[in-house]
Amino acid sequence: MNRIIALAKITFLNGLRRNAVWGLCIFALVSEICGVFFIDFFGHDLGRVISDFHFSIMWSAGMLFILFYAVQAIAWDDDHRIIDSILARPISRTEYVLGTMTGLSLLLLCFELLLAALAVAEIIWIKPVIGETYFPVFSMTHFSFAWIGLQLILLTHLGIVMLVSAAIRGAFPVMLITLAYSLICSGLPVVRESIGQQSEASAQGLDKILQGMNMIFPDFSLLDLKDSVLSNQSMEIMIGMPVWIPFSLMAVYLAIVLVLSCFIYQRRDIL
Amino acid sequence: MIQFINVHKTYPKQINRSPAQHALKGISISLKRGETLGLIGQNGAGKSTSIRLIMGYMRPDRGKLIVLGNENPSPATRRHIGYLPETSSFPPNLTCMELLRFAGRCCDMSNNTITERSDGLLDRLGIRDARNRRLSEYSKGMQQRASFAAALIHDPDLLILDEPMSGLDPIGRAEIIDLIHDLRRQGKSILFCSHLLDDVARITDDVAILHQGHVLYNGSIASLCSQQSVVQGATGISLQDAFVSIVKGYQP
Repeated sequence: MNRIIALAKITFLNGLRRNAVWGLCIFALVSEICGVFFIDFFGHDLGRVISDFHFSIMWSAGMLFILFYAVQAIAWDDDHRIIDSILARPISRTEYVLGTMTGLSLLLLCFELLLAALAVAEIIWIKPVIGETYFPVFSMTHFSFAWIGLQLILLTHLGIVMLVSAAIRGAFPVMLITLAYSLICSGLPVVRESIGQQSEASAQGLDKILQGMNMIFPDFSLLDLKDSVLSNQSMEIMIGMPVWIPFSLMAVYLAIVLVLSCFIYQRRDIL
Repeated sequence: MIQFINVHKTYPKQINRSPAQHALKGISISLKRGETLGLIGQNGAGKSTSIRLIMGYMRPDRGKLIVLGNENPSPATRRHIGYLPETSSFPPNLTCMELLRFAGRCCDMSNNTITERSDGLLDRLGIRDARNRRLSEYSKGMQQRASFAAALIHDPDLLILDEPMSGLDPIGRAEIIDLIHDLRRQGKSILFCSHLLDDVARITDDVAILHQGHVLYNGSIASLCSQQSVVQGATGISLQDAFVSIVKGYQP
């Protein structure tokens, strides 16, 4: 545990001092502030516009962090032999995976917490200015759940980066595969819905295959709870199931991804 | 401390890239406690592969490799190994002290012990004043010294030094050679890889010459030089001359 914490600490510190990460953070914060001006373009449903805008910024900033910083931090190739220096210590491959994942997750969560704090401050400030007609409800509890859901989605992507990095050398292929994974996860539910509306037998077979693929490429829409931020209804009614179910399932999926990463790292030669 | 027994290692063929490379072809060398062994060879001879096998980054395809008495070395084995890689690569935004604290915490050292040892090491290596600067701001030589400090912080019994003089000026080289002599006097076992054969001759008594994955010679430097003196019919053969002669005379 000491070694995992030590590795998480240096991973966190290294990222915290990276100018590119601060640049991304400042860019995201400025974008959120600029959101105040964008609402002028919308005539109605301003609460939804503001809330969706902030969640989109948080999602985009998180994905940029993962694809452009986390991938570089984890990948090992001829230019980045940091893994050699770390594994020269009495650290097992499993501790390496967990330590690196913990450090990067902490960095991502701190970054996202900052964005969330600004988002909440803006929403709370704007709501009385706009008035009840255009922004009737804002639920802090639901905002928190929606934020946690978003973080689980981002952490899952980070886990996938770790898994792909275990199998493939080089930052660029890892980034491409992670991006492809994200696009498949977004598109698969749409394809399934389209196939599901067809009645042919071949469509039934295809639907089964797509259902199987869903186990590998999860449907993140169950964790996309930003619509609930503007509602007084309970979360269970809005998503049709107790809220702990999608959260637990995604946590289990993430755990499986990390176990697979540890397994691959254990087996493979670090060339 | 280290025993290679008929070890083979092949790098597999890569798609659209080089064919399979048989890096080690049944090498058998050993390093006993308290000894210093120079591992020398041309580029591509198998030195780095041997080191990566010792460090547990790879597993041999055939043969046995015993490190510190363990045939399947666990991460805990590395508690007793100090490794100085040829090219240092650390998270660049860490300071030297943070790196040493990380290295120490991985070996379950207390903060006080880490501070005491790092003060002494950094002083000896001449980078104590720069200990709170980021590693990315260090020169090549300073990074090499920081890497050396990280290799020694936990007082290992076995040292693997891969080109330890790399990037150092003549004064730095002399200081490192002094340090290595001190470590020898303390009874450390040292595996020393370098292309600078003069340094190898100064530091080690025994040498193993690798060439194309084979061990061409494994024994004392004095014995190698006198052997080559007889072969060449000359006197005063240096390690460099002996090495060139033995490698050029190799018939696969």
